[in-house]
Amino acid sequence: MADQNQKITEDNSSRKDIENHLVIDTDDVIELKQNYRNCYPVARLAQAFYTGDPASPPPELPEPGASHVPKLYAYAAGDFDRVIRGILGLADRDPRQLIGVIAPNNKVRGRYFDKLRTLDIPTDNPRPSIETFHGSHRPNIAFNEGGILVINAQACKGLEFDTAILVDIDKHNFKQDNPDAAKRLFYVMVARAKYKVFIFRDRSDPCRADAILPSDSDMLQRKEV
Amino acid sequence: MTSTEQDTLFSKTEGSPTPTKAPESGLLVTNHLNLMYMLAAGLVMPPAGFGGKYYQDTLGFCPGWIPLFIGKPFREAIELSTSEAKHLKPICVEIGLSCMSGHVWALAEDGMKELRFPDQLAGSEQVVLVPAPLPTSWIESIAFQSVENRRICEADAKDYGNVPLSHFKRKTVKTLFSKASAAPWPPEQGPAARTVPLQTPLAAGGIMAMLLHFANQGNLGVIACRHAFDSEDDQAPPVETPVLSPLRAWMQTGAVPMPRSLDAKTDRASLQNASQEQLFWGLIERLVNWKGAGEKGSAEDVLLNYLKETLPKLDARLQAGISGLRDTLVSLTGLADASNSELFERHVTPFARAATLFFLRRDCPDLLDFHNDQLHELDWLAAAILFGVRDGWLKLPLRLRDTPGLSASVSHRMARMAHRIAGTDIELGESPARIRPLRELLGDGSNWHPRSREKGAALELARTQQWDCVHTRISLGRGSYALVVEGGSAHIEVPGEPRIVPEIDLPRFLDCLAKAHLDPKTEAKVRKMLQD
Repeated sequence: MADQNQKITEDNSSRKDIENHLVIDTDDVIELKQNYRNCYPVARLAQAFYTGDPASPPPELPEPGASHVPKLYAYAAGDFDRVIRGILGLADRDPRQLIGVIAPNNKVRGRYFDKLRTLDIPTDNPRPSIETFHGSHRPNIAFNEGGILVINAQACKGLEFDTAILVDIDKHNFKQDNPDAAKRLFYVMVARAKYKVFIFRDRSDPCRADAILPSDSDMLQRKEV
Repeated sequence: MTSTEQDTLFSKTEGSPTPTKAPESGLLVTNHLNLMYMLAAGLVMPPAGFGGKYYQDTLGFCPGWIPLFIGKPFREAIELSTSEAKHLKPICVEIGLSCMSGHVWALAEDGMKELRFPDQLAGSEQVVLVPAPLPTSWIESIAFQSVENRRICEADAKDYGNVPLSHFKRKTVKTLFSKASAAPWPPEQGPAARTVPLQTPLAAGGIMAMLLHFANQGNLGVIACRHAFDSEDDQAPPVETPVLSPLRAWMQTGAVPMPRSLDAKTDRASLQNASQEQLFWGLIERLVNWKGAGEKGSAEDVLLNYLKETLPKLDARLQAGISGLRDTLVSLTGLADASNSELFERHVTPFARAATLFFLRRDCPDLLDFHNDQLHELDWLAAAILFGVRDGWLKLPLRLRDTPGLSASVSHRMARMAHRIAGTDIELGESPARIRPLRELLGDGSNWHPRSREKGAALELARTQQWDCVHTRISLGRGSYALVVEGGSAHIEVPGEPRIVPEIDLPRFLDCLAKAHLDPKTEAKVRKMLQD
């Protein structure tokens, strides 16, 4: 199994590169063209950030069906606790789900991690397992038992969550002259989610990511906290 | 099941070009992917039922009619059925016809004609075209062209969570394919295409299965389950509960009940009950229509739009409640901060709670795994119906179909319902007996004698599930008891033989049963004990 959107060499490998590398005939290749991880609304949003070359088209969208159009929330600084309550409420309503909180940097990661562990809200279930990766700290997480994992964007590749929450996207330090780099990062972050995506931005700060976010409300609904 | 290599599937008719009496079965020529879809759906059905996943086969000849080859299949029909993609494997499905009667079309050497099956058969028919659908429970065997094809299909079927291929008899019959008839296919003419109502029966199948799985909740669940399976049974006690009372009528034709007449003088409770009923079954109808139209958008969107459209038509006294419910449901598509308990405190009617669960849980297995002590029996049953319609029988995983006899029972009833709605004169014979919930089979405890099978089954359940509802009474004979200490141990000597009787705390047992969702193996074992 090989992924032509992953890097084997410096650039993304073409299907031919992979065939040569693995020494297999073209006829023996079974090409998976469909998106098998993300449900339709998530896959559609991810596709908006796809930057692959035309020779390597994005995976076909899965069948429409699931609801939950991804949402972008703008929040004021004073509403941070409400954001945290929303995340904890989501975890409490279905404790089996794994939620990934994906932060732009260590400072934001730490802020969310600390608040998620300390804020008290009325719940039906015990507080979910809340973990984070930082430095060389890699806790043993039972990914199949649900909970919340707070991580940096750079650490999220390869992970899979039921719900991905991209927090404080205004704090990403994108270079203006390389929008494709920003798109690639958003593609990876959004595509971590199987079912739901929520995005948060601080209302008071300018947000460079605005330039690459789709404006179609069927793809990304904009809300105020 | 062992692999069977044989020369023919129809040993009775081999060597005889024309049957001398009504055939007991016919052969459907298709490909393995269409077969798997039909096994998942529980119905042999026309291309329109495949939701865009249909690969050309003989079912496409006259949509709405199922061509069944009597004796040898036609080579061109086999070739056609695998012509759309290289990876398709040809399949011949033997379908039993001994219980069927009604008007069909038949192809003989002198052409195509309509006749009444089986009594007007001449014996020379090569193909019979039966109005769709037919129950997959009538499949007597599935024939593969080669051992390799069979292996591939069996492996493919395991990749799906809802294809019960292993439940059917499979054979490798090379000559069925190599010695196929050279007669041309498709015929030059046939009956007019028919539109077959499939979404309502598939929804009904989902309802039957889900009500069976929730029937152990209580007596209401047992009766609702009976109404779902045996909607024509006049002996079943009626249900006067809002939401459930139209179930029996809906299971017959899929028609939504007429709204009760209400006016400004109607008291609030009556108004609430009548409105809930109308809202609930109106939603069921909307979901079925949405599925029939190709499922654009999502079921949750259908519910939200339905409430939005219905709100202005409601009595003014109910509008605030329904508007609040819609707000809650919209909030659940985002990051609502309410817990499930807070949501159920806010919304107390069965309709509102079922609708809330619809947003909290994705599918039927997800609902079965959910627990909340605030939910009442009627809330669960309303949710079971709603989820059964959303998923339909087609999407149910095997673990929800594996109750012994359930698949055959549902498949036959779905096919009967489809013919009833379509108004055909096809008779499919008596449906298999309905599957009775364990709570009904176990009874209310009044017949639990020490050696009764009901008590034995209940004890077995309590033991295997480790339910805390068993206590033991030890009766000792009259006389004096002696404590004997010997060496490092002690024992008590009593006269006669003690009688040890395990007892079940019935209310606690029923409570455990209501909350449990048993694995198919355990349930099958207990059902067998109750039958024996």
